[in-house]
Amino acid sequence: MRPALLLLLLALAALAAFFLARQAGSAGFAWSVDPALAGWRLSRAWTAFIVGGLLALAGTLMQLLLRNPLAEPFVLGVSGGASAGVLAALLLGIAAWGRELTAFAGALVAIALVFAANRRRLEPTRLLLSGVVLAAGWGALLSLGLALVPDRQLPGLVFWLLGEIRDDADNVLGLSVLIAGLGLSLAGHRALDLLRLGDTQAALLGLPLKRVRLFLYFLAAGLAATAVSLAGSIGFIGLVVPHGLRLLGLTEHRQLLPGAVLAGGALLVLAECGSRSLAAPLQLPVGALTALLGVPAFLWLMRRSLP
Amino acid sequence: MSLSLAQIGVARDGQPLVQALDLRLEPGQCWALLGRNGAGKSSLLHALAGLLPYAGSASLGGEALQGGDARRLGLLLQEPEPAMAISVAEAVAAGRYPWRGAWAALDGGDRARVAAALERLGLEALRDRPLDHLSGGERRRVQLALLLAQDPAVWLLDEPMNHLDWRWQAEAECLLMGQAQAGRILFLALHDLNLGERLCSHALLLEGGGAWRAGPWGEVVTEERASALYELPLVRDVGAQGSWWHPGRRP
Repeated sequence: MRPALLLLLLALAALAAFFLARQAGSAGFAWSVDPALAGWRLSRAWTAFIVGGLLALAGTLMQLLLRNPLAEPFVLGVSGGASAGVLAALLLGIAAWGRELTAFAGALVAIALVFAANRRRLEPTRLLLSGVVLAAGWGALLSLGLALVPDRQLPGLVFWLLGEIRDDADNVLGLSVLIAGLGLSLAGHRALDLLRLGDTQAALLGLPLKRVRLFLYFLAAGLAATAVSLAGSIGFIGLVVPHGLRLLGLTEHRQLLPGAVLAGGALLVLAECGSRSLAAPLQLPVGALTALLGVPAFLWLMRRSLP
Repeated sequence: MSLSLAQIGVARDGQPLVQALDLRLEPGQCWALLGRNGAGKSSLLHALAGLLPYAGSASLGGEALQGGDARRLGLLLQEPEPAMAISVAEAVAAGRYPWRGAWAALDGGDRARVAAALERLGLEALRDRPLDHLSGGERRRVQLALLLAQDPAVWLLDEPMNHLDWRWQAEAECLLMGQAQAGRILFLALHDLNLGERLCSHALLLEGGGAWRAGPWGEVVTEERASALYELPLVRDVGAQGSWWHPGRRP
């Protein structure tokens, strides 16, 4: 499929997802929706789109930085740091600062620790290894912390850890970060394209490798930190959306990056709509639904790409 | 524009591979870089390309050679790195990056060079194929086409005939000869003395422990020296078809 056509279809899919999110809810699908209710649903859909876009964009950049198909936005422990930040705020009695702020602070600590552990070299294998080890450390801290959290706060916290789209997320901040991240990465699309040949070959062609890798690391980690502070740890999107789009033929970054934002955003809007409506009045964890929607789609794509 | 190497030193794990190398490579010259496995051939090429630190100084046309100066100097890696979702045509077009940079798109001249490089290496039919779907020899041709599109003044080549079949070895030899005739400086790490004899005007022998010997091919690559270098009796037979290196003792 031609990349321009595919991008158009992804944009239409995102619009369709917004339409569905506006019309469908706990009472099922309705053509006519109360404007106040529609506004509330659209606000949540916007949060979902922004978070999905941030995750897919961060995943695309992280896979390029780490040269590893299993890389995803949280592979270096950004979500572990964010979760530990939220938990620490609860335990220290400073939860009033708000989850977004404490999660972002925790994510920044995680980003700084991985950076310090690599002595600023950011070589893919060492970076991945140190990130995975630190993520395991965050997991251990989280397990210890969860045992200490008062019971009444536990369900809300667990739901956040699984990933949740909240009513009061700061969409303006999220959208600003998404637009800035997409703009910055698009500005460097030729340099990112060159990295597909390998780090050494890219350096031989004159790419300032250290600077580009630093840029990629802080951009991908910053996008992931913003996503996790807005909606907790929503997995799967950042891993699978970039792979799926590459299998569909979006390989150049000037097409892949906007495609990832559209596809990741649309997928999370659909998952958020499903989480509200499928088992109403219960609300399902949105992170589980992203996987349920994405796994069959990805397996179909992978099968289709086999010779 | 000649390539001058002054007091070049390259080491690995504290052991010297090349010490105090002084060499001047003139335009149109093709230099063979010979030595045993692990002698430091690739390390020397990587150092000149800015991938490894080295002692001494290198300059091209009087200007110091900087790492990443990809308009003036290109290196064909011994083996390509694993590629990520990139087609043959995109990979060859990457050779024009040093001339366009991160901010400008390729122009008509760039595209013509890329098309010519694809054609020269017989890659037109494979142009949309992802690199990781290619055979070793096809990947080698893509690397050569990239270097041809890059069009540097100095070509560093690390065992350029790796993976190529007979036809493409002959085509690559012809391509390299043409580049030397066009005034490029060629510096090739290789093991095939017959290829070196046909292609190279000069040779640099890395003899171990940092020692080296350099000069015109016929003066430097003698039976005695080649046999000592490879710790194997090597014979150069001369007949009506030209000369022929092979292992064994003269009857």
